[in-house]
Amino acid sequence: MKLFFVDDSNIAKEKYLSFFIYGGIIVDGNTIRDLIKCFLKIKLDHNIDPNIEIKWDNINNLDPTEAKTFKNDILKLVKISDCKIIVYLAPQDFYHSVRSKIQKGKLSIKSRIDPDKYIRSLKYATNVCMQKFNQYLEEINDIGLILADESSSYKKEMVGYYSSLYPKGTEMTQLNRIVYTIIPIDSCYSQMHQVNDIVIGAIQHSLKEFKYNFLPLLKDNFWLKKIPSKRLNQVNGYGFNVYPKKAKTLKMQKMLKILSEKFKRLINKKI
Amino acid sequence: MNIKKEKIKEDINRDIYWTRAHFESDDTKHTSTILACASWEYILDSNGINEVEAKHLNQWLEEVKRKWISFGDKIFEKERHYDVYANTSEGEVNGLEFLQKETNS
Repeated sequence: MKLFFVDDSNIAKEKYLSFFIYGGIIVDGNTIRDLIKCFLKIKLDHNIDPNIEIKWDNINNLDPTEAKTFKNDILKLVKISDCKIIVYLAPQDFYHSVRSKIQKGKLSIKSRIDPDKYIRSLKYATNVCMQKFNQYLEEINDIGLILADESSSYKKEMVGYYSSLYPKGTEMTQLNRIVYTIIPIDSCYSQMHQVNDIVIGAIQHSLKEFKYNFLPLLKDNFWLKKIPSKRLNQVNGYGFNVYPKKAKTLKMQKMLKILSEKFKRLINKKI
Repeated sequence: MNIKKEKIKEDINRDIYWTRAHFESDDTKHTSTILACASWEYILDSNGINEVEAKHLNQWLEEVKRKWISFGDKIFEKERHYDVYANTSEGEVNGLEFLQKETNS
């Protein structure tokens, strides 16, 4: 049985962020204990109390160099494991609303999160990740369960949505490989969600302009399709998914293209 | 004004291009260095292309040179200037951070 740990990137705190990521790592139920043991050892090696929650942008006050080493150690652990990655990405404009307001006599245009739009986006991301996970389970002939990090401010709405999807929901009934409704868990109690946060953070970080590329470390973890007629294995549409399929604006269209192209370009680089 | 351009360097771990251009006043009394960087997506987007080639990078370097020449002698008011070419405001912040940290040699 496979367990899919999902989380969304913390967009609210990142003023300049231009895209959003949802999804994470898929772990085999038989190997999860070993993986957690190794993760806890890495925490101890870096003098981090195993009970303290770590996140991509908050690693127990480690200095930047040490934090980078710590992240690298976790990504290397994921690399040598049998974990698979499925992520969903969408441009910021897909869930942000641009509002203009007068501040001290000056017109300022600010991008802010519209809660309704954001929740819709999370639901959309959940649907995509569920469908992709089900396809993956069909391919490997296994069953699975999704565990979502629910420390966000929209916990109530999302938990309600999960319960509507399964078992009563009609839209998702074709997802017969996923054995039960999505289970929400706060990442401070879930070591695997903390590993997941580092993985999602590394993907997001790598795709930003001018930031260090961690993607080659995770190259073999993305769920991919081997297509004999194509020289390269297909990751787009499998482990890596960019949405919406049809962009409403030219700006969004450019962003979608750049995200896909940049991913393809970065993942094959040697570091 | 005399200008010495360095080669364009590629940082493959960040998918960016950066360079230095050294400006010297005609009387050789004043100098200033421009540190410029561009993201891969900026070069792609500004040229409307799918693949970055050497000619696109050279065009970018010329763009940088023209821009700073247009400031005239004002350029010598500072010994060092940073110039970031990015597609997003987040990229502008990251690019400046890169120039200040990584190329400060």
